[in-house]
Order: sequence, then C-alpha cells, then structure tokens
Amino acid sequence: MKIILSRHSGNSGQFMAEACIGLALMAFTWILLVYSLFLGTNQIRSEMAARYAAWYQANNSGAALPSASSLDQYFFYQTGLSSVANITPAAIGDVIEGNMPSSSTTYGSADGSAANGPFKAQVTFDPSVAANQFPYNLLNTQVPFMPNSMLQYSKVVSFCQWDGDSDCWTSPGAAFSGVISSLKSSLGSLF
Amino acid sequence: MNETKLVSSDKFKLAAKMETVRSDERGSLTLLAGMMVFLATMFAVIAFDTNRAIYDRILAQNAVDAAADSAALWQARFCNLEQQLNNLHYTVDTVACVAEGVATAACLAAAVLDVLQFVPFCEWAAALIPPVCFVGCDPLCPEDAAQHLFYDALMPVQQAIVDIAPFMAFGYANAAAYGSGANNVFDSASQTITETINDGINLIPGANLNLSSTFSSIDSVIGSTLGQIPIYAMPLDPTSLELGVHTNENNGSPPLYWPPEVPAIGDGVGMVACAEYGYDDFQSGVDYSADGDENRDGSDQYKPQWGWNDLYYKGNPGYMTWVAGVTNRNEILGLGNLVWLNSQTSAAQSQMYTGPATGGGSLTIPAFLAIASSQVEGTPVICQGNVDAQGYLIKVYIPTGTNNPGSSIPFPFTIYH
Repeated sequence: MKIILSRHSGNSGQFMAEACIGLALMAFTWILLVYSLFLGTNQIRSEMAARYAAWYQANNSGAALPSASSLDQYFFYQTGLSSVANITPAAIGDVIEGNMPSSSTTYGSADGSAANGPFKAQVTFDPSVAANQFPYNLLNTQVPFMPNSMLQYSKVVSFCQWDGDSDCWTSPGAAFSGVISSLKSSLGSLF
Repeated sequence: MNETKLVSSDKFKLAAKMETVRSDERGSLTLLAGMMVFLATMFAVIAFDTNRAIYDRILAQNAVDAAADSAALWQARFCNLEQQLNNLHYTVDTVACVAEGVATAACLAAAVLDVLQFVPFCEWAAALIPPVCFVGCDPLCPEDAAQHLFYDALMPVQQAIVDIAPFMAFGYANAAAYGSGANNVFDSASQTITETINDGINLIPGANLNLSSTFSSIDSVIGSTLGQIPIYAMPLDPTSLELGVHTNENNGSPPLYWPPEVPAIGDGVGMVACAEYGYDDFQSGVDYSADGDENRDGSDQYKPQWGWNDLYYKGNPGYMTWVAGVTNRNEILGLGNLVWLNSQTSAAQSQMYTGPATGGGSLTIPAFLAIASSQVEGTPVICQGNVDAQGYLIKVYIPTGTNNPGSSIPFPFTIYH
C-alpha cells in the first residue's frame, strides 16, 4: 500500500503538466488552422467582392462604388473591416508593355466619373483596422503573445477590372466622348 | 550456480523494467498532442493551399468574364456607332432625295415655262424661268455632288470602324483580363493542358509513366516563345471578333427611291431649260454625270446611287468564346515534395514504397483555364434603327463551325454572373 502511494506521489502533476503543454500546442495549432481558413476564405471573398464592386460601378454609369457596408453584408463574416476603392485600370498600352499600373494610384476623378470605363475596384479586408482590433468576431479573444500589429498579416487585397457596361455609346454625344476618352486612354498608356 | 542466479536475476530485472515501461503512461499525452499538432498543421497548410487554388480558379473566371464582357461591350459600342452613322446617312439621303426630286421638278417646270412663254397671253412665264432655274433647278447638280461628297466621306469612316473594331475589342478584353489578374494565356493554357494530360496518364492502371519532365520541357518551350507575347485573354475563334457589319444593298422597300431614269431626265431637261441661267456652270463645276455615279473616283466600291438608294453597313456580330487563366504556383512549405502527397509518383500509390520520403517534382497549385462567352444583343445594324446594342455574358459555347448558337451547339455550359 505504501509503495502504491509512493508511485502516485511520484506521478502527481505529470498528467497536468503534459496536458498544459499538449493542449497549449494543440490550441496554438488549432488557431493556426482557423487563421489559415480565415485568411484563405477572406482572400476568396475579397476577390468575389472586388468583382462585384467593379461590375456594380461599370453597370451604374460609373457613379460610385458600392459601399463597404454593403460588401460586408454580401461577402464577409465581419463588419467594418473591409474597404473598397478605385485604382488605376490597366489600359491597352499597359498590356503591351507588361506594366501593371500601381495599385496605390488613385484613379483620376475626370476619367473615373466617365461611364466609359474601365473601372478597377480594389477590395481590402483588413482585420488590423484600428477601430476593430482585438477582440473581434472571429474568436472573440486575443491569442496570447499576439500583438495587434500581427493582424496586418491577415490583411487580404483583391482587385478586378470591368469595362463600362452602362455606356454603350447610344447617343452621339456619348459616342463622341467615348471615342475621345478611349483614344486618350490607349494612346496615353502607350506614350 | 551463481551465474545461473545472476542471469535469472537480470532477466527478472529486465522483465520488471519492461513491465514498468509498459505500465508507465507518463509522456503519452505529449506524444498524442504532438501527433495532433502535426496533423492539424498539415490540415492548416492543406486548407490554406486549397483556398489558394479556389482563389486562383475564381480569379481566372473573373478575368475571363471581364474580358468576354469587355469584348462584347466594345462590339456593341462600335455597332451603335455604325448605327448612328447609318441613321445620319439615312437622314442625309432622305433630305437629298427630296431636294433632288424638287430640283428635278423645278427643271421640268422651267422647261414647261420655257415653252409656255411663247404661248399668247403667257409671256409672264418668261419672268418665272430665272428664279425657277436659280432656286429650283440649278441646285440639282450641287445637291447630288454634296450627297456623294458626304457619302465618300462617310463610307471610309464606317469601313475603318469595321476594320478597327476587332482590334479594339481584343485590346480592351486583354486589358480587362490583365487588370483582373490573369496571367499570360499561353502559359496558363500550356500548363493546364500538360497537367491534365499528365494526371490522365497517371490514372491509367499499370502505366507507371512519369512524363512530368517531358511535359515540363514542352511547357517551358511554350513559355519561352508564345509566353513572351503579352496576351492575357483570347477568343477561341478569332473571326468571332469581327463586327459582322458590311455593306449591303438597301434591299426591301426604301420609302424614297428614284429610278435611274429620273436623274437622266432632270439633268437633260435642266441643261435645255436652265443652261443660260447657270445650270451648265454648276454641272461642269461639280463634274456631274447623271449616269456616271458608279464611275466616279473614290466611290466605285460603294456603288453610290442617285437619290436615296445608297449602300449601307448592316449586320451584327456573333457570339464569342474567350479563354483566360492563371499559371500554377508552388504550394507553401513544399509539402508536395513529400512522396505520399505527390500524385505524380504513381509507385507510392500502388505498392509499398521504400524510397526516399521526398520525391521529384512538387505538388503545385494547378494552373486554371477559364472560359466565358459573350454576345451583342439589341437591334442589328440596319439602315435606320434603334441605337440599343449592348454586350452580355451568355452561356458558354464551344465553337463547332457554325455561328448559330441556338441550333447545333452541343456543349452549352452555364456561367453565373
């Protein structure tokens, strides 16, 4: 009996220690798995949202992009983390030269307001947006030792370009301005 | 005896120790946790790569949709442009037809007045001849010349639109695909095809062929040649880019049409009745010939007709089927190098594998080639019609040599957009 008690005494805390280490590792890996799915899913959803945003603008006379809140409603699990903006679309000259316009370039309002298009929408889903940092809705808890700044690595950006579907040059004025606009765009991108 | 006891004692100790090891559960949870961590990590990586593959697939589809839509849009725009020019042409022709009819009538009236002035009590007719000639008959030749001048200026413009439309549609479709993230279409197509063939061969029981290096060579050759051409989307049938609009006799029943005899009569009568009032000067000034319209410089190909019955650009484009894609890329962490994850190593799948844990090649996120069809809808380009052409994405059609997608296309696939 004494021997048995002694054995128990020797193993006391062993299970607890292993559980702490093992479960911590499993929790960490589980979070890694969740984040992988989270990142990948958001990347896919941002691509879908970018297509929708570009299509929406192209089919509404280039008036405005859909609001970020509507993109949240249609495409994302969390609200307030997405943003949408116009960026410079690729033109024929860019294709020939293999030169993608910088994504940081703001699309000029003069061309951007023309229904002629094309329109290029960039959708960003960024969990590191200041107002929506931890805790946010994914796990509703902060991973230990993970600062807010780490969230920037889960930011995803997608873009899509769509031509101005709503402007089919159905009036002489639209046709004239469309020809001029496309000539300017094509020649401007070449030279 | 002692040795025997010693041996027995050692065996006993060893057995006891083995029993202790067997019954000792310390570390088992850590081992289990380690295995779970390993598996979860693998799942995380595979899930991430799967998401990237899905992302690539969606990106390719978005790019080709944007390209097909853009091409149809530009065809629609050029159709509308042609229709607006046709409507202008129609208006000018109608006005010219009325004006030339009035002028011919004035020439006839001048001839009547010319005879009437010699009739007793009708001397007043002589006073009417000059204004009738100046205002009514003399403009006949300039009106016809102006009509032809307009015609000669308009038709080359319309032909230029027809000629340039396929290139513009192609260019803007490529811009849309490029701007949406598509890769070089030759690269993505060659990779997709070689990957598909390679995987297909590996599915053949007993084939045990590893042609990945051969296909990689083919793919690299294509990549170093065609892959250098900056094309990111292309139609399966390049002729589908054509606008399908061409000159056509104005068949049917034009509301205003002068038969060839009318200008001959008008011109002949005008020369007699109004020659002294400037008709011949106008006629020679514009080099007019009532029966020589088809022989005028610069107009032969369009066969202009006197009055209304000119040629018009008419027709409509057919459907287009576009392809665009993304190239393959390596998966993260190089997991594809593990033999048991590498589908290209058939030996590992069919028998006990005793080779190294990592094999040749890598499990890449495959290249994707997406397909989309588009078409211009609305009123076809006609003499005078609605300017309402629009481009639409439609069901995907595989070209089979016919331009009628509704009847004999055997493989329609639905695209949701």
